[in-house]
Amino acid sequence: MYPAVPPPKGLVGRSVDFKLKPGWRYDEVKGVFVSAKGAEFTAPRLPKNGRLVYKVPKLARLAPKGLSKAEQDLQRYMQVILPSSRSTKELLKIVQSLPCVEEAHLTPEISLPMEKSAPQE
Amino acid sequence: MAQKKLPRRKTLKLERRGFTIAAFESRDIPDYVVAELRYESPVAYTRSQFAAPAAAANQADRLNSVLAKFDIVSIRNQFGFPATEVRKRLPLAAALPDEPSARILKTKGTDAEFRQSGFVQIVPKRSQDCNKLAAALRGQKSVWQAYVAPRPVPAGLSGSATGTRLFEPAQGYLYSAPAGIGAADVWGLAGAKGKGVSICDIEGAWNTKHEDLPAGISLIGGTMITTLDWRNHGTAVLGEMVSVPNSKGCVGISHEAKAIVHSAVINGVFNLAQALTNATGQLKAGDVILIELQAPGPNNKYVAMQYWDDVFSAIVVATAKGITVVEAAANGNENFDLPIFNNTGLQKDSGAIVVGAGIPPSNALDFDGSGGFGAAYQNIGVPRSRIWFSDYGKIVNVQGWGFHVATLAYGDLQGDASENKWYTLRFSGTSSASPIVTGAVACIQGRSKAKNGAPLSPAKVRQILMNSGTPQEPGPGVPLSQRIGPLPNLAKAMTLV
Repeated sequence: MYPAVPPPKGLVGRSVDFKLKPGWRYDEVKGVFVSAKGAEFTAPRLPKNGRLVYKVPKLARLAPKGLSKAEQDLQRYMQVILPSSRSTKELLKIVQSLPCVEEAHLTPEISLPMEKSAPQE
Repeated sequence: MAQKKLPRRKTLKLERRGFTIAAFESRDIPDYVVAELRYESPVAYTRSQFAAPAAAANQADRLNSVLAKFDIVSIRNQFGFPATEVRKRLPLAAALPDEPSARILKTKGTDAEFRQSGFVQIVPKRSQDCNKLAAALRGQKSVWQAYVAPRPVPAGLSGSATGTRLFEPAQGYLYSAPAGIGAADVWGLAGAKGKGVSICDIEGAWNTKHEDLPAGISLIGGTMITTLDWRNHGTAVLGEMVSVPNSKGCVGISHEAKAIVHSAVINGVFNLAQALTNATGQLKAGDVILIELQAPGPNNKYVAMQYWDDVFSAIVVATAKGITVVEAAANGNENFDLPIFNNTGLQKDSGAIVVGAGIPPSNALDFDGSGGFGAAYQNIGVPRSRIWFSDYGKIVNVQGWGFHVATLAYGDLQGDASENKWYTLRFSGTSSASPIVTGAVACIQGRSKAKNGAPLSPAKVRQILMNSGTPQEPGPGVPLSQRIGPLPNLAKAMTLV
């Protein structure tokens, strides 16, 4: 791995990104996933202080009609955020197994693309 | 005795005689007059008056009558001789003819001390009296010359321990192609400093209070990361693009563009897709978004962020709105054309300008080397060839300098107790390359607005940069097939706007 400027530890390793299958949405009030035909199932129970959120909530609330293809695609991305990284991998397996999920992965471990840190004199 | 104040630094000032220090005033050192007595004048002096033997008393009297017209603080020898030493000149001077030749002076046994004894330092109470005093003394028979002592200043152009120097000469990327992108070549064109263009840098932290950044750079979303490394990085990125042009520090490529920033940290984790969408919502056609982030891909090497589908879609949305997205290709030495990337964002066109890192003209490491990758002063390759860590592939459009980029932050070029005055010579990576291209985009869009009344489409901007740039070079182990594209050449690009 080439050097980079890593992020502070708490920012990575404790979230899972996933994409809903077409037609599915998440009802934030009820805490359930809803299919295009109205079928519902409850989202998996999260640890205390865990959160399940849309990645782009502004778009998620809009009706797909009138949105571009890319915007409709963006509507389907969600993120599970855990209070710590302890159970993230187990959570990933659970999310991947959900019938409404097209694809899931750990949130990328983002860093800064600098070759190395210049020394502070 | 009151303690003398240190010289005070003001600003650099261009005068007929050249750059002067406008700068170093030393108010507590008084102005004074230097009078040089004629060799043949048998006149000496004490701390308050001139004195002479009877035969030359009239010469001393006339000098004292000049002094009487002014409020004189002190009289002393310019070389610090005590009065007893000065008096030794009297017999020698009395023995000399008028205007003695060098031979006679030598014959009579005069020496350097004799000559120096004739230099009299006269300090009037009022500095304004110096010129009049010097003029009055020049009219005396016993005085060879009299003048107001010059006020020497340090021979540095600018900068000192008390202020920031000008680092623009170190910003080689501003220079004409092929070394740089020719930014300075086009600044004279209307709009070509990025006027009317907003740039949103997406990463994690910035020091917006840096002395060389314009006021009013606002965080439009996300949470700022508090670590110094990230803050240095964001500050360095902004510095390349919008440093304020003045007599200190750096100057940004597109220093008339407006900068805003968005952190990719949302809800305590990274969410670049939302940051991109938020930025897109706040910008308009002709503006620019810079993605200064990377993450490990399937080979556990860093890749460009458009590898992830949500980021790819968010870029597509931005470019469809007319916003040019510039994206660091990342530092993974990764080949985006490998089969493992088939059908991913690394082999599709998001509309972004993907930026690789090229070797700058200063193609050797400095005394500090480069961590585990190179020793001090080691050659790092052919200028404009792919630098060893840069990702490459068909979607990489253009390159920027991947090393030795002078900009703000870090403090290796100039340190200070306050990070607001830190500067670096060593910003690097696709991190340093991408703001060079972003600045170039802002210059082109600013120029297009001024010239054509409207910005260009992101696709057109990318095409211009690719078609007008200085071509990539091959180097040992880094053939042209490892594509990072050309280095922008704004002088040529502007002919296509």
